[in-house]
Amino acid sequence: MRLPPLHVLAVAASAFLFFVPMVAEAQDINVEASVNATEVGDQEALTLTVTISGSDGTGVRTPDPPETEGLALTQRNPGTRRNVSIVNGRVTQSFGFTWMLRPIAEGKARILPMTVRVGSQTFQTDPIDVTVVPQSQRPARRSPVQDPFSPFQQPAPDPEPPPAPSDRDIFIQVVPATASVWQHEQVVVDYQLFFREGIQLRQSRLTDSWDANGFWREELEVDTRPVPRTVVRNGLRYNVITLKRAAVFPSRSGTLTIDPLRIESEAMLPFGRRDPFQSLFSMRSRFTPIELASPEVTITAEPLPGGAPERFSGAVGSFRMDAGLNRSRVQTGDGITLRVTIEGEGNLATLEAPRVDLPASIEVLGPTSTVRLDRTGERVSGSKIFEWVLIPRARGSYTIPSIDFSWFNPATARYETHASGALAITAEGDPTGTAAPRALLNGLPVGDVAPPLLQTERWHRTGSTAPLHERRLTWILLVGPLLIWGGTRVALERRRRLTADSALVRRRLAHPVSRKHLQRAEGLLDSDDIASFYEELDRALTGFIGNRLNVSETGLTRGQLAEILGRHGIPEPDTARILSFLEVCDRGRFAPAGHTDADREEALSDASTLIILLDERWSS
Amino acid sequence: MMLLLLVAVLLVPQATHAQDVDSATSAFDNATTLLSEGRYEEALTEYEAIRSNGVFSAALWHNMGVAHYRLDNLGQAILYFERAARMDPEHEAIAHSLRVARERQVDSFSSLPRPFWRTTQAAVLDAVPPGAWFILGLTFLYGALALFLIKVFGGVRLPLGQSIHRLLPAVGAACVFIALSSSISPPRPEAAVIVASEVTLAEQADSAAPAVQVVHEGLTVDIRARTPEWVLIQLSNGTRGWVPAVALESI
Repeated sequence: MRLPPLHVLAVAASAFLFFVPMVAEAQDINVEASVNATEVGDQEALTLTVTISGSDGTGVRTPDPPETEGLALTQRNPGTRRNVSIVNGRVTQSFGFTWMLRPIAEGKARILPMTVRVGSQTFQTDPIDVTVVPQSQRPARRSPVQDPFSPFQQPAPDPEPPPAPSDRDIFIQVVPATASVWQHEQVVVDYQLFFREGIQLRQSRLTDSWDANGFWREELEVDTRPVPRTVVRNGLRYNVITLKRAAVFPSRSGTLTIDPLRIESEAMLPFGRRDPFQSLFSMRSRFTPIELASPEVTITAEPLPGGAPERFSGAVGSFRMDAGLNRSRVQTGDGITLRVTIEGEGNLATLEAPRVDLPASIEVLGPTSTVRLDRTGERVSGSKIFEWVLIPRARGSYTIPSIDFSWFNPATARYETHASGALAITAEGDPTGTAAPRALLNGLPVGDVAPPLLQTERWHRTGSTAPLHERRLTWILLVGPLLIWGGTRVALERRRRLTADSALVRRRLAHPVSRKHLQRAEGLLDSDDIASFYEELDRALTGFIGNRLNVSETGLTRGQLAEILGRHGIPEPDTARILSFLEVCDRGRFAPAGHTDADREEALSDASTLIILLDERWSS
Repeated sequence: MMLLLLVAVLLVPQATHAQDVDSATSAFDNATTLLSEGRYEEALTEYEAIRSNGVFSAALWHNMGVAHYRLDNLGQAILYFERAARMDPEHEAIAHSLRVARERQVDSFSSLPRPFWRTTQAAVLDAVPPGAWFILGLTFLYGALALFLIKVFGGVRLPLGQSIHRLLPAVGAACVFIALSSSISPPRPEAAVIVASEVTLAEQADSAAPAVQVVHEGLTVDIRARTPEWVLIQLSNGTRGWVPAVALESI
């Protein structure tokens, strides 16, 4: 048994494109809404595209889904694309959002105006009118009458209520019914229609949009003209066809539920009619409308384990990365394309661009991304390509550090990382660059050195400045106060010690004091004051003895003096000479008459001689 | 007469410096014009002439760095930008040029954490330079000496009493210690920039010694020791090695 196509959403796109630009202008930003055709067959899909151009991407938000009349959305989240083109050195970007729509009925259909926000600006598109015609009027692609799920075949009136099939005769099974996976891990959900042999179906269609909140989902292709396979279950033979296959990726951890898949159809049972004549001649009247729903699918998503690499950004699956430049030598100011391709199985659509650390002298545009998914297999696989346009702004050699891409592999439950290796760029040409940097930040060029400074605030003299500790002046300045302080302290100490030892003081004063008296006596040689002359001589000698021996010379008798001298080692003859000299002095003081100048000169000489004699005795 | 002679002796260097500054400013303007016109080699020749006259400035270093950058001499460009940045660390244009030039250098090494006492020492000396610490210390020391002499020979009793005679020398000695210790062991060792396009670090100051690491132009390194022909350098990750003296220039 060969069934007609089941899935109206999988019909090929229209044979020609007819864009109806709906332009809303505001400054340089342009927003357009267009469809791929204004006339579609009732089993064809319609593509609506909203294009935003003239924006650098800042503030571009995903528009809300369009409101329609006579058309139904097959997806709530739009497909996105971003184009960067360089024409004559001018870089332009555009962003596109695409929805697929399905006709609900023949006749006039309409896409109502859409509101699009870009930053703080709001744009509104014009409505688009579409004509839905019978598929037979469209270029032949397949025979719609063979599609038992076609919603547009007009059923013939059935005069009698036909018997309805039971849940045992026809049902939808979903595989898997439950699953426990990692967050972001791909789960393929298969919806299979089981119906007993002999049951015929027609006018089948999805009753509402199937939804899976908390999942990113990608639909896998199923055979539009499936050949049922026969299975036996619980002793009954069933025909089985796949209604829908979808890959879902839980976007968060926790227990998530996928809505049931619901279809409406008309079924004709080969059994249940007791009247064989009526059964034979009233086949059309025995189709009965039915509604079917699959069970809910419950998926438990485990959070990803810790220890993720620094560059991990949520990729889960099995991937391979390749990075390269379209050329390695470029003229300054020209662009190079850096392309990073990530291939494999997993959540490719939601992958973020890997981080690329670029030198500041390279201006960068992008990245743009392109996703190519293979939906024909049992799982979603494909590639996602990220592209950056790199513009060196100065001559030289640049190195782009290795680009790392990390993902979590559910098969091994481990994080894996692929590094591209460093990439080299050589910018040639005029050292000034073929184009001045376009961007300035705080008055300084982005990616280039500052312009020459036009004036200098202060000139400095060149000179070898030795370290502080190697300069002589440093130590002179430091030692100076230390020497002054130390010398003063020593002098003070000496003075203190002298003050404390009277004997020492007198001993040190002995010579100066006696010398002073001798000088006075010498000054009196030519004067008539003979008494004073001898008094000075007496004081010179006795003062020297008193100071030298630290005794009080005042009031000493000659006997006491002789005893002191003897006690301090002066021999008798010398003591006698001293006493004799002192006798002379006494006579000169109290009876000056008779003392000639020659006597006085001799006395002065004797005084000096005696003092020297005593000093030698006591110093030896 | 003697006073006039002294004034003349003091003013002669000032007048000479003023003449140098005037001629340097004029030459700087000419060189900068050449640089703006894209005549980089000629501009460099003019700038070198200014430097050979014994004067320099942050703007001179920066513009020499720009000329070398335009001539694709990355090592020399970073060297001059570093010199300019050390003279005027707050200058935005100089910091920007240095940052842009560094983005192009090949080598990038991790940095060893510095001992806390080194960072503290650097912070103290950034706030007050070593010369200022030394002058401050001398001021305290000579002030203490003056008070000591006044006390000893003048017999004057100071309001703070005996404590001032202990406090001032102690503070002065501390300031001098900071100055001399930072001079003997500076917080940041002498730095240099690799100007050779590529150079191999050797384990010993010998061209036949085993290689340690290959580094490229523009890398800033610390100098640890010198011989007439070799220099022992240390990378930011702590790796040490000898390189020929011609392969680098002190900042």
